[in-house]
Amino acid sequence: MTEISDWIYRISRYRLIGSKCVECGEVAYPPRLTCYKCGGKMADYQLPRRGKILYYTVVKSLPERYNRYGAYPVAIVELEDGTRIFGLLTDVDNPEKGMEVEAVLRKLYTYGEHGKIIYGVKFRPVLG
Amino acid sequence: MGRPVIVGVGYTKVGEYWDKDVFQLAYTAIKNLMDEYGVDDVDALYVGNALAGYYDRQLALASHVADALSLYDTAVSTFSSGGASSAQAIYNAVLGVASGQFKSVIVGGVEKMSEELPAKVVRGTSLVENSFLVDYNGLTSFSLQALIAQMYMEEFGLKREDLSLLPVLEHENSSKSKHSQFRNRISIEMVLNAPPVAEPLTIFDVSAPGDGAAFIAVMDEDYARKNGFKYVKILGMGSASQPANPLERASPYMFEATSRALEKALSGAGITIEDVNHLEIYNPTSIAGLLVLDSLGLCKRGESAKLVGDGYFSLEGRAPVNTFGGAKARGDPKGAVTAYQFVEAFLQHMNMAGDNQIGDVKYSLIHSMVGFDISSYVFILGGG
Repeated sequence: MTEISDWIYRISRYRLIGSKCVECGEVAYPPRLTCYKCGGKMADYQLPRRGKILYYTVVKSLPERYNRYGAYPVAIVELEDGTRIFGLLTDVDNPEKGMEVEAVLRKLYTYGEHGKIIYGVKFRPVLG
Repeated sequence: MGRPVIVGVGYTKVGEYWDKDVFQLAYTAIKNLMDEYGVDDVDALYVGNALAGYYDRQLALASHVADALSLYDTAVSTFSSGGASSAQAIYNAVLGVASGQFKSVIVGGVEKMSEELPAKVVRGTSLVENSFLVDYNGLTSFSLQALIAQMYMEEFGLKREDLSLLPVLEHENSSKSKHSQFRNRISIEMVLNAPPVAEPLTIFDVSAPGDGAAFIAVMDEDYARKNGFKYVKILGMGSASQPANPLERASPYMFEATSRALEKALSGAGITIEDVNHLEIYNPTSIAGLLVLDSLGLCKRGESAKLVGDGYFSLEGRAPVNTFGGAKARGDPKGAVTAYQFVEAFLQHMNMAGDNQIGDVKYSLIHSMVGFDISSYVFILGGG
């Protein structure tokens, strides 16, 4: 994505704001302009920050920008309202299916000649 | 109204070309096509390419390929959509001929991937997915598909070994093919024990970067006949899309874009799937291959691995699939890959497939898709 879209989507990305269809109530993350179910208009929707891991895998074939620190886990997380989203895991050595996780703001990567820092949400195990 | 037919093919072996750039590869394939089949009248040149803008910093590729060949009296268009780049080019070339605008089109694709660092290949091939969902989030095409593979295996009670059946079949087919990149036979155990890309997928479940160029000549049937060409007919085609995010789909492991595209293509050709006895499908991963086969309506969902295991799709089976190894073993030069599938179908129909020849090919199905079935293309060929 370009630098400008990193800026455009910053609020949604930092705060986990998805969208909800004003017609049928379907929820989506990343946010969408139209509802994939009914074609209706979407409004901003704050997703819950807690959920559990449904499936996870470890990315071992690493993409540019995410290749500085070696393999890392990604998951399908089911949030408390039932919305399922893809997300990075953090602060966890041995992820497990069903593990309770919460969204935290983290640095994702740096790029460009000025070393621009890109932030976003990762999921970590719920503490205690 | 024109009736589109394929009169000739030109292609390079898929591999690593350290001494050739995209233009030299495209030149070789197009020159072979024009010389071998006597195609000298070209109304249009359509070129598929996925990654030159990202790797080579060269955009508007069709214009520069035409320039490299000094073909100036042609309409040119560039199509760039990952593994479906040349599918889109061919789809539109067929429309150009069907509309009567063109009598003769050279169309295909070219890709150069092998000199790029692995991290740039992984990222580059993942950029066809929604960038917010995948690229920004550190997901990749392969890890996204690995997660869906877990869901699919759980739902239908499949074992890891079931995923391996298709790559094993593809490498078997590739072992006899002269233009394929990977000609080694592999076993179910080798797939299982290979280094993981993202569990459950290993390097033998996924396609590898390759270089290559493949082009076909599409002509109007009357024009082709008058000029003495032998040909294979393009009888039907269709395309459809679905949400890029698998979690927004009715089922994350249902390829609805493929099944809708298939329906349109079959109805255009006036045949049913049972009439098809040869398939060249696009499956950059083993799981994607099973989901494509599931969506054809030949079996219940979740049962395509069993059909593969039963030999239904083997060279001597009822409907051979990926007869030269497919993306997995023939190779996956993204922007050219659908054009290779057309080349292979042409060779089968013209009885020119050598050791990979299947008997009595009636109708061929060619399938292509952007990413994980975001947009899909199906073509029906026959009547050679």
